[in-house]
Amino acid sequence: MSATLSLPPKLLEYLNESRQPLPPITDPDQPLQIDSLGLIRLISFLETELGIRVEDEELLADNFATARALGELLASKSAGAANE
Amino acid sequence: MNSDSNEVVIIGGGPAGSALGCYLSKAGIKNTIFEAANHPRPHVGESMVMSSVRVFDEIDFLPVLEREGFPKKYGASWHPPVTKGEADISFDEFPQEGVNQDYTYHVDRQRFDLLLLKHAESLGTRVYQGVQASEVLFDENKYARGIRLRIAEQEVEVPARMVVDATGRQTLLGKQLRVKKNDPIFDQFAVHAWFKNVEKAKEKSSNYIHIYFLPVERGWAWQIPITEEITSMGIVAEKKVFKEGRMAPGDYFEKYVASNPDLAHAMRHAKRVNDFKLEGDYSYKMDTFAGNGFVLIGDAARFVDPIFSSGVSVALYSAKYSSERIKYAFEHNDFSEAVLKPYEKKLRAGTEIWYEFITLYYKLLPLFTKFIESKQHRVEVLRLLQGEVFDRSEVPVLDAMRKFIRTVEETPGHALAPMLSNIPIG
Repeated sequence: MSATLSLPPKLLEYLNESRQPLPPITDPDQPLQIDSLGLIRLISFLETELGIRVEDEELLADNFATARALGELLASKSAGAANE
Repeated sequence: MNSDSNEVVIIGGGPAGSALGCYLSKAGIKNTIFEAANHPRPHVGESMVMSSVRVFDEIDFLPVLEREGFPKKYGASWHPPVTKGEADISFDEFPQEGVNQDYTYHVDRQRFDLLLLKHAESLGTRVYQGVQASEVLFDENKYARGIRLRIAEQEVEVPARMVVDATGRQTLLGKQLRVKKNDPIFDQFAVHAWFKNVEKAKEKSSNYIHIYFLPVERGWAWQIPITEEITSMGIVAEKKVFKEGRMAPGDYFEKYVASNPDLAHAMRHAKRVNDFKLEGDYSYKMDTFAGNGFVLIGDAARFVDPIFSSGVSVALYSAKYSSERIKYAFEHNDFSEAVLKPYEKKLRAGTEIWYEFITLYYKLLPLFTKFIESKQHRVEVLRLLQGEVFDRSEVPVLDAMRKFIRTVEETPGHALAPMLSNIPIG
């Protein structure tokens, strides 16, 4: 697993499982290829399993395009939370 | 076929007409059903929502449903297009007041409709089958005061104190009064048949209704257990999809079965046991459901897209609510529009909630899954899915859905924007 994948292990595991039969994610810049229902499920997973709430306005295609983008979104959220 | 001029004549012996017969007979109001067909006759619309149970209880029909062993429906399950997996709901998550069981029923409508008609008869309703009503008759004061029947090529007039149009999608009175408005948005079309050897899903959801999303505008498929062996399967899409496809019904059916992985899996060993049937399913409503001496109930008043199995429930509640006003009319000897109109108000408000829910659903399909899987909204969506749409002053979850759709529409680059359909949501 590449060190550049800064996603929480639980999330990475979820992403890899739900994208089967596609191979696991190794490159942070490879497209995640999440369809709309996959996205809804991912949001629900983030909220219930990791306690991260993604706002409706943040469901941008760009935020979920790659592991790097997703990692940045989550980092910005935890930074925001730390400042509150 | 003498009819007393002081009774209620109900045209049509489907679920709406029969349920009304039950309510009126229980209240001691004389009533007669004239049914054009000879039951049993086939009919689509085999799955029910939970709220129907309350009406079955009130008209003492639950023991019949139990005795006849109709499959119990404990929930519903949705399968996405393209990918595998399902989202489901179980009715026991949200118990309803006045409903003492955690399931409703799937029914073979031939048997169900006949049983309900016979039940009305057992409670005192007079029933004539194979009699086609051709017209509702109005007196000089513009009160409905009877009907014209066609029997063996002869026309017969039957007087009545009140007339109820329960003719279903035939919409006899709606057409006669020219108050029928076809819906500008929903013009759906179904191809359906019964199959055996349909593979049941995992144990928990084996007796649920299964809805499969299809990768075509407003396309979905139903899977409804009819008996242990037989399953009703239907493909629904916009009528133009079928027309422009120019395919034989069987080929059309096969094509869309193959388009959803879970559906294709469920159908891989299936064998058809009756002919494919085609059903135009456009939605409509009447400008009026009640006037001097008449009411329209069930599909004769309003028809909405069947995605949420709402049809029989709307029919049953239209019978319940109209019976309350008819009782009042007999008590006060006043059959005016003003006395009957509160029924219309109640039914219209409830069916509008169904319609709005259906419209938002088709507007953005992933929205439904999002709300079902959301801690905040799940119970409220369940409440709607169970048919709790009547006597509600507000439905906040529909406002939340609208707000979400607006966010998707107005946020540049929103991931769900490509999924928005062109349905106007007002």
